[in-house]
Amino acid sequence: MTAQAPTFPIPRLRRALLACGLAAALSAPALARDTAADKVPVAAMSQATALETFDLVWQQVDQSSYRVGDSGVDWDKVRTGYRPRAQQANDPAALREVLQEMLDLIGDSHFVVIPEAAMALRAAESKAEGSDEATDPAGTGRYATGLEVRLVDGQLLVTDVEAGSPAAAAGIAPGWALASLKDQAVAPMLKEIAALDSEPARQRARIVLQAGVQSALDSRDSRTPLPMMLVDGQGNDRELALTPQPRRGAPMQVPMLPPAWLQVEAGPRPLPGGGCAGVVQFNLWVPAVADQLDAAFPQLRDCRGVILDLRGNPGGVMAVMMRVAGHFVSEPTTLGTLTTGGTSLNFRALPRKVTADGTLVRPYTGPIAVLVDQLSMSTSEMFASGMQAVGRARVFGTQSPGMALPARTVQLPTGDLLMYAFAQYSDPLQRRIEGVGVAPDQAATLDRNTLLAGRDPALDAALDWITNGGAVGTATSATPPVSTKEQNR
Amino acid sequence: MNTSHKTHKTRTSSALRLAPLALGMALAAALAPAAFATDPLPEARSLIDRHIEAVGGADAMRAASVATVKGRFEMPGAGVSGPITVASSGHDQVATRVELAGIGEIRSGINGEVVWSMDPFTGPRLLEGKERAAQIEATHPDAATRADSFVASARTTGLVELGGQSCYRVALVWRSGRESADCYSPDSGLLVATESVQVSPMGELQVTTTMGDYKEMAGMKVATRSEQQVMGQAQVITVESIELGEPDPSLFEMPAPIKALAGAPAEAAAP
Repeated sequence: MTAQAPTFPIPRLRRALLACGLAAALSAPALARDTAADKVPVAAMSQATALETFDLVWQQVDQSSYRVGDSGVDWDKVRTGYRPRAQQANDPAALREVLQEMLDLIGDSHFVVIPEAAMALRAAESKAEGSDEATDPAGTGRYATGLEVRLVDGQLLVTDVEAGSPAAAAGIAPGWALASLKDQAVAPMLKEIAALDSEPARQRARIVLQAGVQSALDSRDSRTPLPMMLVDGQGNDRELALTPQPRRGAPMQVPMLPPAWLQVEAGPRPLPGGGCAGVVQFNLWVPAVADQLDAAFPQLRDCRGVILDLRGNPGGVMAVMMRVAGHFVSEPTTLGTLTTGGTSLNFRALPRKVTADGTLVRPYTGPIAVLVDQLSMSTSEMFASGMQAVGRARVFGTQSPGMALPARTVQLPTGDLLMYAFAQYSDPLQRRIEGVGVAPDQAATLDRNTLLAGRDPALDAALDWITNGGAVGTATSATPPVSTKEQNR
Repeated sequence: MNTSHKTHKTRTSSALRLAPLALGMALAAALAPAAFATDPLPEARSLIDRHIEAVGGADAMRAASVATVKGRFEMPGAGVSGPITVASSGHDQVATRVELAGIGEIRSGINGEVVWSMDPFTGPRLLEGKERAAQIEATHPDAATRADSFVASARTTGLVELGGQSCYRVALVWRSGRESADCYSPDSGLLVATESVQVSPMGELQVTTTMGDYKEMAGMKVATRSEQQVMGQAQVITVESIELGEPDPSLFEMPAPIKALAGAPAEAAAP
């Protein structure tokens, strides 16, 4: 039996997330603001506006150097089928559904319509609601429960609990299973996913579910307790209501992308036998990350290795990876190549030989570990693949989803944004990441017992590797990449 | 944000990465020469001289090389805009700064022999080779007048359509080895477009720049609007004011990382 797409907690962005790359990169704030978007009165829309919007979307994709025809899509035929449906749409939301359905036919990431409401920082709305620091009307993700969840062995498990967070205060521990969130049971959604008719569809649906739930856990009004049911390590049901609290970080607004909450953590971690490993974690690729890494790097420089934890990092501004990688290369190093319309651009990291305060340094030459998982997308995948391809890093974790294309956005007459891929991208070994993902050099899969024991297999493996000298090129269990494209055919 | 672009915004970080070069070249072009042309294929030098005459003469152009230019940089498709300041004191003291919200500062400059750049995507660096030459040629007054000291040859190649307008195309071969082209209006004699290859660590890109909205400013006629198309993305610079005279010296202060690189042994300073 072929099942229909499952009903996810935030269905309006379901298709958007299915297609997302860079948009999924910022999916958390976008999802968070979906609720706010629901409060916005739906304006009527003329047929002329609907057609103007449709035509612009169709033309942008048609004229893109990405050439959707290469994906086996007859784009002219698509126009014939979808234009009449677009004309019948009565409001922007209905039109968005039609447009996204059309874009989904391409089958690649980074073709997505982002609702206008997801883009606007609604300062006026904030004042009108009498909100103060206790609310996050822009949905940047400033408030969080401190829970991180992933799908593990068919369950939505807590994989991390932030110290000092509401989740930690409630005694929640890694390995607990999330059974329901806001009265929506998880099991039926997992059942729907399992019934989907292809592995690529199931894979993307799993990403949607995880991103959607994570967003709901990260971006709520702090005054509104978030009810949830968890199953603890002993199998007991634990009914809780967590009130999200402010978390570290800062608001971030990159032009033409939804506002977001940026968190950057960098510091040394002691290693057995002495010395340290520098552990760097950030949740978005934006220029401010490079600034903060520049500032933090002096304290990591003497460590025996550096771990870049990109798990859950959905991407961002591609070019930032050049500056981040500059700390780790001794020669100009190409991490990947963008190709569009006969033109190629190399994303080239230049060795960083000076600190922000003007101290001359040598680029870091110690071992680099990159951690990825099923929610490491877009620029995170490009960086991991590039560093892996040039032999500068060893990748640990689980295979990334393969949602990595250079994209642009165009504002539509309805106020929504169209994000569309405009170029191909490949790593230095000419490997295409889109639809394939990054295969870790050392797979580190999660299971519930491991989580309940308080272990983090990917991080532990990276720390062990650095402790033992960190030689790149000694892969023990590289997972063969699986092309979702090939599976589709 | 220019509302006329509201329905056609696009974004690409890669195009933005190339902004520093675009800024230099576009501004140089904006401040560069204008002419008279009547023959179907006039001599290249006559086209260049006509342009110089039309904008106010070589002396006025030279005077404008000691000035502070303020304006606005925009990538309408990327939703990116911010103020731009270009300070110059002759050919060996030049500083460009663009401030872009959500992105950061893009800076570049020339301090004597030091030609440098610092942006949010590649960090601080000293420019070398073709990239260095292009930066110098984008700002030197003698390069703006296409003087023999910079241009090895100039040849009119035809009356062409460039940037949406008809103009005489003059192919230039620079002494640095770089090649580019100017395009001069048959009617006004003014420079209305250029073609060049932008060089950056990311590779080389063919770029077309169109100039327009010539206005009287600082004793000369200045193209107050220049637009570059880079990989399908428009980069627009609008000149709002030109203040002749020595700029505030602090504008030429190099960032600490650049100072350090400039003072380092060559091996350490190279990328």
